[in-house]
Amino acid sequence: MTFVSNLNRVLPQKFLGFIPLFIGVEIILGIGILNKAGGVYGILSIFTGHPINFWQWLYNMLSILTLPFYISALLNLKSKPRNARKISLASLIYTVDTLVGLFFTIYFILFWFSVEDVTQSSGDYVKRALDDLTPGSGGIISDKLAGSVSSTSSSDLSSQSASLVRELYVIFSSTIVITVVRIYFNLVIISFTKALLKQDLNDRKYHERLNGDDDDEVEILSATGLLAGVHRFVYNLERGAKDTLNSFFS
Amino acid sequence: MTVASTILRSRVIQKPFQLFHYYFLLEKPPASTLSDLQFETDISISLNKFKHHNWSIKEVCHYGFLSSIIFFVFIIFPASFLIKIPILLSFILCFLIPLTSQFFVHALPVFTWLALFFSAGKIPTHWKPAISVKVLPAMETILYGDNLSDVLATVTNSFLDLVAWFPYGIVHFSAPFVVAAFIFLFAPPTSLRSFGFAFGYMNLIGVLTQIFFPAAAPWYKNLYGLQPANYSMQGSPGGLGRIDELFGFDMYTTTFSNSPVIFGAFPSLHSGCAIMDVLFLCWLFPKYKYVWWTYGSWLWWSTMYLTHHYFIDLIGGAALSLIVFEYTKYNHLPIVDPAKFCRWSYVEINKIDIQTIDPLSSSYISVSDTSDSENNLGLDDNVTRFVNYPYLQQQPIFQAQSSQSIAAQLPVEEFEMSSISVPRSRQSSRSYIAGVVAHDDVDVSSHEDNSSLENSATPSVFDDEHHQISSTTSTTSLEDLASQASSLHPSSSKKNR
Repeated sequence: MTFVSNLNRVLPQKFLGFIPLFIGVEIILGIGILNKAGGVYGILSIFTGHPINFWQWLYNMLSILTLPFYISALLNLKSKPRNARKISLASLIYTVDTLVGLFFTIYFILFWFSVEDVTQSSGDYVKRALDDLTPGSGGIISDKLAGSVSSTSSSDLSSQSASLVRELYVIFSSTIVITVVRIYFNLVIISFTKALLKQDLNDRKYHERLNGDDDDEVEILSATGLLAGVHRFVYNLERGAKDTLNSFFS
Repeated sequence: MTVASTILRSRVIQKPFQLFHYYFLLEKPPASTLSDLQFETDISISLNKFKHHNWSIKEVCHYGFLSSIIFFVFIIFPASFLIKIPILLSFILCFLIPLTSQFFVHALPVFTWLALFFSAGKIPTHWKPAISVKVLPAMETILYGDNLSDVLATVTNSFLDLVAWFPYGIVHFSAPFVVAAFIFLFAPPTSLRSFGFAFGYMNLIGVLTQIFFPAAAPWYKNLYGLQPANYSMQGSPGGLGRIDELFGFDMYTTTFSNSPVIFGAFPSLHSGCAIMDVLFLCWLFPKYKYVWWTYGSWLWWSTMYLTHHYFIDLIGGAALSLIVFEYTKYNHLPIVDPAKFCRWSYVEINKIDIQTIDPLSSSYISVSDTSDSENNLGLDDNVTRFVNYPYLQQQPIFQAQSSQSIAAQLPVEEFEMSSISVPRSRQSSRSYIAGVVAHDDVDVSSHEDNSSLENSATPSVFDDEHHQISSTTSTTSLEDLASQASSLHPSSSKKNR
């Protein structure tokens, strides 16, 4: 109960302080969909033979799995009354995705610095650290790589590349900023879902037309076939998510 | 004269004109001037408007920002002032002649972007920030688990090269012109200026980001690993070099080697442009949204396969496009009426009323099931919602009522598309136009636009006459939203009737 009341206090009423929540959710889900498309390209490593480990494979699969739910939520964002259940499920998935994403972020930071960066730099760290400390000596590499421009001094060329410290600073600060933004996006979606569910309850209470379940229910539950089974499964997930969030917020 | 006359009367010229006249111009209602273009060449008309124009803060920011960038380019471009000044004067002249200004004013963000992009290489090296080599591959791995460009470029062959080259090397450069042509022909009047605004600003912000945050592309890592970079290095065509080898002539190697922004990996403007094209095409032709998004996905794959960008660059460009498009959609873009065939079919222009599409608003108007098939990833489902307005406006009872009061008096179902099934065709459009013409009391041409700067995509001092923009539904400023959201009254107070 304390958690819910604390959560209510931090939930934004407007996106970025002045934009209606639904526009914020539209942008957030849009960016979410674009991001999750990365899973589709990542999983193509099966065909290209690029080596990936279990966690990378799992991350790509999770991205692909979340993709249709985000798309479905965005498609139905403004379609009452079905948006209540669609957004509820997307909201829950986004929250789980944010939490899981945090663990993956930590894992991939370790992965980058322990495997990728070391392999690709191959001793470059020591050289660049020395370059940072003694400007004037570091341009030798750059000159060789560039095919050299004789009129430019090596120290000038060296200073044109970001130092190791600067690169690390940008990497870590960007990661932190992106994580904070992601948590904020999550709060926006939760806030929108909460308002939507509250309105949905009111609509059901006051409008006879909406007393039952939404328009799709009969069609989804009466259909047969494999695809209908998938639709039914998703529908049940959505109803479950909606009920869960309703009881959570009440 | 005789030769010109003969050419104009030739079948090659006459037949296309007749077809164009039949399919497009005949759509235009006799009394409507909404879709007309300006053909005046008298500069005094523009100067007069300029003198009497009331400048808003938005306009000052818009023109001030773009002018300052053009001035910057003017200063840094290494050419004689004897050459630069006449070029600038010709440019200004195009803004003053009404015939040309109707295009140039709204394309100003695009021109500014192009000027900055092609001059970026002339910016003194010591002004430029240090180049990041590791940030993008590191962020790519941290956020997406791997270097997706490496994943996709592990296996290369001539067939895949050609499949990648087609969208990246051919379609990408022509698509904006095709999309612009489609928007001009089939979207409501004033839509093209919104495209110019969105496309120009997206690219301009993208190039500014590339200049302030120079970063190396995947081809750099393939060539040099994560070694330091410098501005004396040449660019690389990446995978497009294989296309040059395949065809046996230099199409891309020289161009990309001498690119004005060699270390401009983030954000990817290939991705930005493609997604902007896709978003506008989905807005205009939502029925084919799968085709448009297939193109977007294809170009993304090409970009990574050809080692021109990391996935995070693509996301950067696409997210930038999405945000700029959303801003444009809710502030400037008119609503596409599926019942209208082309630009000349429109007799009025409606803007999105955020209150009626906000599911949390008490003024929300329900959207019908049929709209789902017309949605473009949910980004413009208001299209179907608003198709009813012109019909409602034919009925005098609705003339003086706000959307809220209409919604209050009628069952919600009456607003749904399912109750008024109108296919998008010339026939239906003409029928409607005939109906409108028959109702003199519903003469939309009387809706003079007194605030075209608010309604136009790019604020312009040159276009504030003869556009009949209905602001029945316009609540178009995001800055106004905070106050409006707290109010139960819809934007009916903004009606210009």
